[in-house]
Amino acid sequence: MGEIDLIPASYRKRRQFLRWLKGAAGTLLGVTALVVGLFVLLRIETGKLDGELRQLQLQKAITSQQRADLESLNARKRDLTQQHDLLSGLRSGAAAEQMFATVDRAMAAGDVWFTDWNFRRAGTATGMDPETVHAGYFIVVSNDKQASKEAWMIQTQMKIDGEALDHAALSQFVSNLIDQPEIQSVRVVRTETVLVSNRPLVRFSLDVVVAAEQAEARS
Amino acid sequence: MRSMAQALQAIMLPQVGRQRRVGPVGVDVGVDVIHLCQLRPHDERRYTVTGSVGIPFTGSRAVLLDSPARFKKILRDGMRRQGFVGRKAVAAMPADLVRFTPITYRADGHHADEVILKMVSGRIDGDITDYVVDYLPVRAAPEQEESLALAAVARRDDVLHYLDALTGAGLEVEALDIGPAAIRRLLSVLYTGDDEEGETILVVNTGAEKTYLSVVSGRRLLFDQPVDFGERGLLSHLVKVLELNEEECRALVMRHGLDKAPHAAASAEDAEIAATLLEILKNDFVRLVDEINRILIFTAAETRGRPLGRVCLLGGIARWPGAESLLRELIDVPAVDTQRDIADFFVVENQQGIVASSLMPEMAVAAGLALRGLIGRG
Repeated sequence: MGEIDLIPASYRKRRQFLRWLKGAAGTLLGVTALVVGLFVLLRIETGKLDGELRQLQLQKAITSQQRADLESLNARKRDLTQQHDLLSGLRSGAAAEQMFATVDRAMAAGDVWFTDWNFRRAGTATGMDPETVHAGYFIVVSNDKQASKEAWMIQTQMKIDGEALDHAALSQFVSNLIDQPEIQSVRVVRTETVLVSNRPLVRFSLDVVVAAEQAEARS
Repeated sequence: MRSMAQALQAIMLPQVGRQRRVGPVGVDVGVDVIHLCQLRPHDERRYTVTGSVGIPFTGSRAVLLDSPARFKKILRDGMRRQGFVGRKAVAAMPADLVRFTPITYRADGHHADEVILKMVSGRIDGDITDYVVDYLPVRAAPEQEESLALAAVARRDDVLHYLDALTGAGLEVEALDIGPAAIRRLLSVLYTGDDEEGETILVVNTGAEKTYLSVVSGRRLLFDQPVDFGERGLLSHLVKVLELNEEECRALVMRHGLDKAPHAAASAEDAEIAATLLEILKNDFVRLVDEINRILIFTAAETRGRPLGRVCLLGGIARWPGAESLLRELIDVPAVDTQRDIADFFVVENQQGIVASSLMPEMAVAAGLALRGLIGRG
């Protein structure tokens, strides 16, 4: 059945175009709203994440600060421990009074006498492999940050200058001294024969290393 | 058993109907009332009236169309809670803004448009580009013989102004139809079906000021012509003779009618008043019948002498008691009870179930417009 339609084609096209335009505008508006919505949502989420990140960074900063403090305190502790060990080492070992008794036991019937006697206890820093540490000689200070470890060698030494009636007496004295458990080594540094009141005497110098007690310490 | 079947039908049919597509809103802007109607196929034969309303307005139609805000408000208020669905509409170009002219032409199918346009351009004032033209084929003939078409011609400015007014009122106009084509569509549902050579029906569509006489033969619209015969004219005649106001005259007519032989219950006084009214108005009806007879002579040639099958009275005067019988008597052709036929084909779903529609005769054009696109899809 034929139908009448008096809507001009141009008008219909215009209406269709306007409808399309309206639809496109609506779609565009919708997409824009969606994008803006997403943008706002992202901003909000980003803001939240930034906040969390700031919190984490703050916490991290606090943790770093605490770690630095801890490390500093540990280093301080190590340093103090080292100094304490060193001090303990220096305080340990044979006492000077004991050395008098020891030397006295080694001296025979008055054929050896001393003109000078030095008693010295000191620590000397030395870089060394901990595996080679000999107990008693060293205070080993470990340092985590350094590949090598620093060791402090504690030595108690005596330097004895004196005179003996003859070399036999000196020799006897040295042998007796070596035999003392408190003495680790004795080195005859110098001997010379001198005339004193037209009498020949043997003037000598000895370096005596005192054996360390269980004074070593490790950290 | 039968009542159970009816109950089942009442339950099932609306559900089937709801699944069917709702048609456009038929919009018929009259002289003082806007008729709107929307339909939905109910079953293979009937249609559900989704919404129908007559919205009266004051002032002239031109003034109304020039006031988009007022027009929109009137439509919106009138359509509210009336069951209308969507904004798609099929409107009828107001009858006074469109002219129909029969065109006899000889052309092959491919060039018919050009030939008709050329012929129409010779019958109008001014440039053809100032007009909008469409046509309905009335008789298609082989190339050597003459074909007949009914051309609808309207000024482009009027069309665009009307479309803008409707669009501005929130309607989405799918098509701009004409009243006679809508009537033809309605009759094809009520009487003629899809048969091209169906019975010939004269439609007397009475308006407030003019009446449109259309001849439909089968599915073809053969003729449409306005005549100076309208409800206002008849009432003013009564006002003049009876010296009453228009409303009193209308009430008188609606109460007593124009029946020459009123029903048995009527009193002698009623019969006398009816006879008086008939006496006053009979000449007006006779003039109308003269116009109808002239048209019938013209259409007889087109229908190859096939007699007029029936006369269908629509519009406001169709509600006047006795108007149809008077017309039947004057034309000597069986008039139909359009209101009863409409009730057969158009139903309303409400709380009482499916009931016959109470579509008024004035709603015929709007209903025909609402049928556009629905016929054949039921």
